[in-house]
Amino acid sequence: METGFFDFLLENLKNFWGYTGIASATAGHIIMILVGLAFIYMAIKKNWEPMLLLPIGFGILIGNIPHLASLKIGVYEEGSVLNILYHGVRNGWYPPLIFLGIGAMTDFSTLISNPKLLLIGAAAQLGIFAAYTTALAVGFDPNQAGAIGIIGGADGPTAIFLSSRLAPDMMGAIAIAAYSYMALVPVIQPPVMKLFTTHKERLIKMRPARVVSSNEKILFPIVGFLLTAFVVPSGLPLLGMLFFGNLLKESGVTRRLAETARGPIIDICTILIGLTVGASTQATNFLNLRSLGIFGLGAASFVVATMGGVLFVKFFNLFLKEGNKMNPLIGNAGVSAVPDSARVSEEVGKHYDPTNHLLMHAMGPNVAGVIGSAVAAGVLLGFLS
Amino acid sequence: MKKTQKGFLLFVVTLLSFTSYAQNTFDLKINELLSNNTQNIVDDYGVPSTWFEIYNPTYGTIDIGGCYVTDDINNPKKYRIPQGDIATKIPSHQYLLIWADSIDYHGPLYTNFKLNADGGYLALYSNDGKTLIDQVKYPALDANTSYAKNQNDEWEKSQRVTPRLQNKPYDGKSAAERLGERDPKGAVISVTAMSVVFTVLILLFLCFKQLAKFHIKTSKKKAAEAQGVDIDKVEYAGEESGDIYAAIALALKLYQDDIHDVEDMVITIERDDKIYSPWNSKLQSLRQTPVIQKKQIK
Repeated sequence: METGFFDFLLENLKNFWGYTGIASATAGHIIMILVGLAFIYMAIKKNWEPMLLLPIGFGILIGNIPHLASLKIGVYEEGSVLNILYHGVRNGWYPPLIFLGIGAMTDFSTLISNPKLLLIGAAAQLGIFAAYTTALAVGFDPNQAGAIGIIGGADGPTAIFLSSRLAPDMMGAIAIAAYSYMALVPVIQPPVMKLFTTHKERLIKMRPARVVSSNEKILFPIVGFLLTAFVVPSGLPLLGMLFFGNLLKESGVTRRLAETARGPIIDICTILIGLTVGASTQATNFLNLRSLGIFGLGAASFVVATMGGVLFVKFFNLFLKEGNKMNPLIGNAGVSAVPDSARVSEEVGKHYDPTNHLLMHAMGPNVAGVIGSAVAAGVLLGFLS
Repeated sequence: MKKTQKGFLLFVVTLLSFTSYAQNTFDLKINELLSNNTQNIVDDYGVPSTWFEIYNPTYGTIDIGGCYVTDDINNPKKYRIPQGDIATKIPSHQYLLIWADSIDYHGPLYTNFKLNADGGYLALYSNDGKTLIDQVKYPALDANTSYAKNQNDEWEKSQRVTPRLQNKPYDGKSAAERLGERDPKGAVISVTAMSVVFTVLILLFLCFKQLAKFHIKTSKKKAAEAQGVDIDKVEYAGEESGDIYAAIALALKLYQDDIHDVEDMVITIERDDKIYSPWNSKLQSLRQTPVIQKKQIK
C-alpha cells in the first residue's frame, strides 16, 4: 500500500517536472531572458527609453518561460489572455491609438513658424528606402524588405503597424530593433552628425522661431490631414489619428479629450504594445539569422537616415541667405524618435557652443519626421499589400 | 462679402462638387458582356441568358438604381433599373452582373431586352435618361465568347469569360511578388516613394508658407488700422521670438515684485475654507500629556 502511494507520488512529481519551465528550457530561452534582462537594465540604470524598454524587456521574460502549448497561456495560443492582448498588435489597433496620443501631446509651432523644416523630415526617410533596397539585395522578399525598411523611420508604432500588415512573422524582431535603436539614438547619431559637418557649420545660430497664432495651430492638423491623406490614403489610420489628436489639443475646446488621449490612452497602449511585442519574441521563432539580418539592416538604416537629414540641411543652406541658414546638426532630428533625436541635436550643438540652443529648432524636423514616416509607411503599404 | 470669404466659399463649393462627382454614377463602366451564351453561367432561373457587367472603379459604393440601360441608340430609357433594391448597390472596385433576358419581371437585375449574338449596341445612361455614362458597340460573337475590356481599357473578344471578376488574367501572385519581379533592386519603388514623401511635405510647406504670409499681412493690417498709419510703416510684432516676450514678462514680474508692498496694502477678509471635522478639531486634540490627579479618600 505504502509503496504504491510513493510510486504514485513520484510519478506525479515527474509529471509536474515535465510541466515546469525548467524542464523545457533551452539555451535559446536563456539567451532571450538575458536579452530581456539587458533591456530592463538599460531602462532602469541607463534611463534609455524606459517607457518602452521596460515593458518590452519584461515582455521578453514572459514570452520566454517555456510551457506546454496545451496549457493555452502563451501569446501565440489562440484564446489566451496574452493572445487576446496581442490582437491589438497583430491587427494594428495599438499604433493608431498611440499616434492619437502623440498628436495630442505634440506642439507643431516650430514647424508652422518655419515650414521649410518639413523638408528635412522628408529627407531623413532616405534610411527607409536604403534599408529596403539592401534587404532586397540580401534576399528578403519585397514585403519583408518593406517591413524592415520602416525601421529607418525610427518610429516604433509605425514599424509595428507596417510589419503587422506586410510581414507579421517578422514583427517581433522589427519592433525590438526599432525600439532598441530609438533608445540608442544618443549613441548612434552623434558620430554621423560630426562626420558630415564642419566645425563652422556646427556653430550656426538659427533665427528664433516667430510666434504662431492659434488659428494657424488649428488649421495645421486639418490642412495637414487633408493634404497627406488624399495623396496617401493607405496611411489613413496613422495620419488620421495623429492629426485628430493634434486638433483635440489645439482646438482649445476639448481639453479633457486631449488629456485622455495623451494620458491614459497612450499609457495603456504603450504598456500593452511593449509587453505583448516583448512576449512575442519567443526564442523558438526569434533566435535565427534572419533576426540578426533585421538588426543589422535596422542599424544601417538609422545611420543613413541621420546622414540624409544632415546632408539635406547642408544642401538646403546653399540656397539660403546668410542669417537664414540652418544648423546641419538639426538634420538628424528628421528621423522621428521624438524627442530623443531633437535632444541629441541640442546636446551636440551645445558641445560646440554652449550658448547655441537647437532643441526647439530640431523639434520641427522631429515632428515632420513623424509625418514623413507615416506617409512613407502608407506608400509602402499601398505598393506592397 | 469680403474677397477672402468669397474665395473660401468658392473653394468649398468646388471641393464639394468634386467630391459629389467622385462618388456618383458617372464613374461606372461597362466592363464585359456575353451576347451568345449557350454553356456559360446560368441565371437564377437556370437559363443561360445573355448578360453584361458593370464595374465600380471608385472608393465608394455606388447605387446604380434609377439609371437606364438600353440596346437602342434612339431609346436611352429602354430599361430603368429599379431603385431602392439592395442588389443595385455596387461596392468599391466590385462588379455587378445584369442579365439581359428580355423578361424584366424576373427581378431588378433582368432587363427587358436581350443582347444580340450578331452584334449590337449597349449603353448606360444616368437617372435623367439623357446623360450618357458609358456605351459599347459589340461585334458578332462566337458562342460563349465575351467582349471585354483588357488591361489597357480596350475592348476585345475574350475566350476567358469572367463574370463578376476582373478581366485581366489573375496569376495568383501578391502585389509584393509582382513588384519584386518588375523591380528586383527596389530602385523604382524607392525613387517613387521618396518623391511621394517629398511631394506631400512640399505641399504642406507651400501651404503653410502662404498661410504664414497671410497671417502676417492680416496682423499688420489690423495694427495699421489700430495705429492709424500706413501698413508699410507697421512692423509685424510676431516676427520677434517668444524669447523676447519671455524677457518682457520677466521684467514686468520683477517690477511687480519691487512694488509688492504697495500692491498688497489692501485689507480684505478671507474666508477660512477649512471644513470642520472632529478629526482635525484642535479642541479635540491633546495639547499636553494629561496629568492624572489622584483623589485622596479620606
